[in-house]
Amino acid sequence: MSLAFEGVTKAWDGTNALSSLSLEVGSGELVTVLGPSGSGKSTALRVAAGLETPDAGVVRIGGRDVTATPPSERGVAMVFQSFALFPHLSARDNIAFGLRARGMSRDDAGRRARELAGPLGLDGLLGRRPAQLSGGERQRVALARALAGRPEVLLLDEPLSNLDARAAPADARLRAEARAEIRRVHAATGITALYVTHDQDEALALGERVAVLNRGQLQQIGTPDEVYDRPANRFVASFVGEPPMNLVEAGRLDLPGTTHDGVLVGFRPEDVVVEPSAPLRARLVLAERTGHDELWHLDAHGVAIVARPRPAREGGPGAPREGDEIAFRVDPAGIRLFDAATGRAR
Amino acid sequence: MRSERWLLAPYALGGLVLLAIPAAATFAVAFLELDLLAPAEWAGIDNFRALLEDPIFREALVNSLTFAALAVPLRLLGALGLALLLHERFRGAGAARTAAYLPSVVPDIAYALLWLFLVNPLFGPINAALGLAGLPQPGWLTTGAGAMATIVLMSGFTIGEGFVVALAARQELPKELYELARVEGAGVLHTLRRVTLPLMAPTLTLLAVRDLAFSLQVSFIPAYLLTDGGPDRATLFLPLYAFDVGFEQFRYGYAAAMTLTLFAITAVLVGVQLWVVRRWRFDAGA
Repeated sequence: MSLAFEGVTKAWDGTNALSSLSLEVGSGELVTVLGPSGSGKSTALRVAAGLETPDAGVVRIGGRDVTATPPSERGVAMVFQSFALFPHLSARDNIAFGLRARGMSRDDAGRRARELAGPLGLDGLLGRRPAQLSGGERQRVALARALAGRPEVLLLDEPLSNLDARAAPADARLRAEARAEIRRVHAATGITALYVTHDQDEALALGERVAVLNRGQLQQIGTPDEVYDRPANRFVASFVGEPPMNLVEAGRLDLPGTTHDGVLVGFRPEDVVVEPSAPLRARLVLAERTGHDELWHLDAHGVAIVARPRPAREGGPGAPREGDEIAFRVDPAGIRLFDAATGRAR
Repeated sequence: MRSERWLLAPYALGGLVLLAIPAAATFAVAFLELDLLAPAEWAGIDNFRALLEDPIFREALVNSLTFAALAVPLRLLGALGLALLLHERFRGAGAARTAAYLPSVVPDIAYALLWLFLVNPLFGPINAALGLAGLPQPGWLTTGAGAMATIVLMSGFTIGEGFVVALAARQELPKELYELARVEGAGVLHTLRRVTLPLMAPTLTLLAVRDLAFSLQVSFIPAYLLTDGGPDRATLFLPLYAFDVGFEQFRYGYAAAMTLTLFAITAVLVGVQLWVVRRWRFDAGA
């Protein structure tokens, strides 16, 4: 079942949370929606669920117009950021909640809960209440509950942002595991999924396609590679990537055969090549080393540039120190041009 | 930290002088033969034995229990119902909440006078309305059942505190739980039974316990002001009877024994109530 937004607009107190959003998630596809807070990504999800009614536009599921259909009759299930588990119910009863609400017998609902528990690693935990479960276990209970009713469309609202914030080092591993879990579930069920997140690693790692949203407007939709390699505009270029693309204003740019006026030149930090024979000069302001990664903050005649140099061996003859002048060039294959006025890619 | 405890001193002093010492005195007096005529004499459990054989005491006990059995569920349902109706924001919600709370701030005497007017059989608005609707016009305070019904009804509107507590408890419940229930196809009744009531259960239990104790003790005021226990002792509640015995007949020892008995009955009933609620919550959670 596909999920489609057609010109969906939703305003809160006069400002548009969504401005004429059009987006289609193909049947069985997993699309991640990436955007900063306030970009309207959660609103989009809530409109798809039927928790909000759009001011204009149409939502279709499997081609059927469901804009006025109540949430429970859309064939959708939702995983909330807070997990929304009932604190007074066991994991089993939480998973079975929707089944029981729709009139399934206690035995059948319990059997379905057990069936889901195995693959999600919840065996033996079904009798526990949410307070007795870890963050990761709660997240999987919420996922199991969403899958229990065999929905056509799965809506996930930042499902990983609430994983044990207390344990920072374990957090990254837990998220990676949870990501793998969601990818596995998606592959196994072939469910259509819309996954909202503000975390670009999550969006790029999970999505078959990534939709980038800002201020209620769709900036770009494409495969993770497309979004990363060919940002559609200045916003995507400056939002995706850690750190994002360097954007340098160039009034006029002469390239073999063509001349560009009023452009922004974009290039990723990893496309900065540092070598003694290179034509450009910059001063190394700050060298940041975080384990395997090293970032150089350069000052090229007043233009700030971030570079990710190939790691030089510690103390090697070529390793510059902060304050040194270095020579660099930009790999032409990595250069992207944006219109300085409109911000669009050229 | 330690020095701040002194801030409790005024309350502790008040509690000691106004509650602890009178309670201890009542406990002691209950075992004395004490009236204004003769010096105090040790009576042992004579006062309690006399209670068992006092038909008026038995009548007052039944009246009190009847009142509690009618008033507590009514008041609790009223407070819960209003909280569930008024917890959301809408135009006029503030005014409606104020209206729900308002009867609770009317002074007891004014409130009793208001009800004397409301239930007046000849020109009270309640009977006038019933007459217009072609319904029978009861005599209210002139019959035993009518008087009991009036006092129960009266108590059904002074639920401001319970309402505010229930309202706060309902507003504490996370919005997502209700959104999830909507997505998962849970209807209004299923959501009420499986989500709202179990999650509000701790608060409702507290309110029920408080209201039971309240109903057994404070029913004294409307009965004293409105019916003075009548007609024919139909609204003679235990605290009112104890007041009569103590401060009209000056049989302090007997009144103290009655008060202690009321205290014990209240404690037992609250215990039973807690036990039932715990069972129910266990069932609802399973």
